[in-house]
Amino acid sequence: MEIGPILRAMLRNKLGVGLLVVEIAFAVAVVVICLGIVAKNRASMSIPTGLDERNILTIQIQSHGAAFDEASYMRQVIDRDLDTIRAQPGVLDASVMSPWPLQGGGSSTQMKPTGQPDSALVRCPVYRADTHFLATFGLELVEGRAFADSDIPLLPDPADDAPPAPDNVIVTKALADALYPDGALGKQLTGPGGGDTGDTIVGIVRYMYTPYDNGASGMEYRILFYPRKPGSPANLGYMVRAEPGAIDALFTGLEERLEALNRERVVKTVSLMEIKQRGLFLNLIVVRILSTIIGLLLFVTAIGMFGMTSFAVAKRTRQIGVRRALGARKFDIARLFLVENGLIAGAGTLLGLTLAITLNLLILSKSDAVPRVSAGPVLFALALIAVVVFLSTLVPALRAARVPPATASRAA
Amino acid sequence: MLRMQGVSKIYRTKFVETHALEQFSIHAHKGEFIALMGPSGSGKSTFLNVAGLLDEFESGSYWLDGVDVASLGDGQRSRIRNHKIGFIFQSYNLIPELDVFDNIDVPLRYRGLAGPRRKELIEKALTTVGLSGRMQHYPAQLSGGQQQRVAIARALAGGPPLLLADEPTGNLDTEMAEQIMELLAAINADGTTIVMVTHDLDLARRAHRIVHIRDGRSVDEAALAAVARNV
Repeated sequence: MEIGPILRAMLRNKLGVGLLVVEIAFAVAVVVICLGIVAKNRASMSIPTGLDERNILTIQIQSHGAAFDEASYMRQVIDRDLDTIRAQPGVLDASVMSPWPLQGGGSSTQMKPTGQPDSALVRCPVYRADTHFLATFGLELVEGRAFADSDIPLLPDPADDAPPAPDNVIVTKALADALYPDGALGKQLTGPGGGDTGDTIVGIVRYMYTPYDNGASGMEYRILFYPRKPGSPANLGYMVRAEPGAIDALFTGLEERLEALNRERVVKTVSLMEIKQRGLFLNLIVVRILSTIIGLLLFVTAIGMFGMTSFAVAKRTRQIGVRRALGARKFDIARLFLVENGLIAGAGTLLGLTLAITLNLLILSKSDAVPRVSAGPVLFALALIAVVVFLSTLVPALRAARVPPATASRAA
Repeated sequence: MLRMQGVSKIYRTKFVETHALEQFSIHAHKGEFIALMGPSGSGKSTFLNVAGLLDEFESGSYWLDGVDVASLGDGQRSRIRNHKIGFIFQSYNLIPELDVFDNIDVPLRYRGLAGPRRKELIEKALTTVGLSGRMQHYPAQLSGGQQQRVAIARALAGGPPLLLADEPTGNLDTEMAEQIMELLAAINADGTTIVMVTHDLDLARRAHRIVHIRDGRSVDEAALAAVARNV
């Protein structure tokens, strides 16, 4: 392998080689950073929710009568709706809750252990749910109990200025461990302002998925369940768990049933799968846009390498003939151009990686908008660049190999 | 060393066939120094291409150092060029991006020799041509005569039994040409067979034998002399 002479010859053309190295370095840096973001988003999209997505449907209800503004009326409506839904053939259970898992939005709060003022606050998404949510989602209770009717707060009296009574709450195991590693059951929560909420953990479930994706921050599994306040809000949402194979029939059947109960509202059923797809829409767009950018960049790099190698072959046709006359086989000639471009690509890749890591650290020092450069995307980027460089160089290299040795003896 | 019998080479375009060599025959013995003379377009370059295995031929037979080269594949032809033939071109054909050392190193690397052995051969060849102090120079930094001597060193370094020289002094002044011819004579005296194409009769007379070529055919020197006498 004639790497030494190739390197020395390339150093005689520093500008041309340097420009190619910079082009590849730029491509590598962008591809590495973009691939990292793509990988993060793809990972978010493929995180298992742990929920029986295929057999859960949601019912969205928009009410448009004045009566729905009254909490007591709403409570009656909800009770009747849920009784109707649960009575349908193929329904295992139903629950009223907000927000919905995977919907792509929701709210979170921060809590810390009561009596431990120096503890860090733990951010956690919040669900508000009724007494049936465990069965509806098939969640496993590992400690304590589910919500009972007594946990659901009574309707607030508008004339009463007293602060709301503390709630009994359920948390996921991940949140319980983050707050009270030595056991969370029966413990109380302190809110962000440092004031004790008086809220008490009465149950711990093994797992629940977040209502919205927040990347790999860890908070997506630290979930806090509050008992749902009765009668609010006007826009209702039910979750329905169907028996396997029964969900398709429930879509239209439930809409018709619920609309028949009360004509002053619009009922719409949507599968949890579709909710998930909507929630991950932004991730999907990011993946598609960045994948397109990566593809375009690699294409431009390939065109650049192809053009430069073709130009080099045309410019050095006589030299190729001389090498053939001196004993080079076709393979030796093709290898010469492949090695030359491999060295350029190698230098460009090293420079590009350095650039990508430096940029990454710089961005990470200011914000966590991009994921830390990791081995997976780097290796994938290297493989992509290697394939692109090899394929874009191969055609002109093979053309060079076909230069006849007699070219050496033709008049200059 | 080199024996061609009835070799024909035809260049074809869409409309024209050019018989560059037609029933061409030549026999160069080991250690011989032959000058091939002929006018422009007589087939001298075609002969060199065929003799140097740079080009193939249509018919006839060609034996090089005991090997029938007519049926060899591209890889075997490359190997023979690398091991048995040294080329000296009129325009030197040095690789401009490589220094003198690396230029001479090119055929040795294709032979697969180890680094120390290559270095030894390169230094010996450069000493032979009197350029051992110019190892790190690039072709553009050398005169025409020096470049041709580097080309001779490159041709010599691997110790091929046959040197094919195409107008080796064509681009040089008289003094430089004389130096190159003395160098070739010395190389031949060491046992290397040389076939040199030239149209300079003075240079050709330095060879052991002159072979004339006309319209792609070899013309016997004695017969040519007889014709000249009759005229």
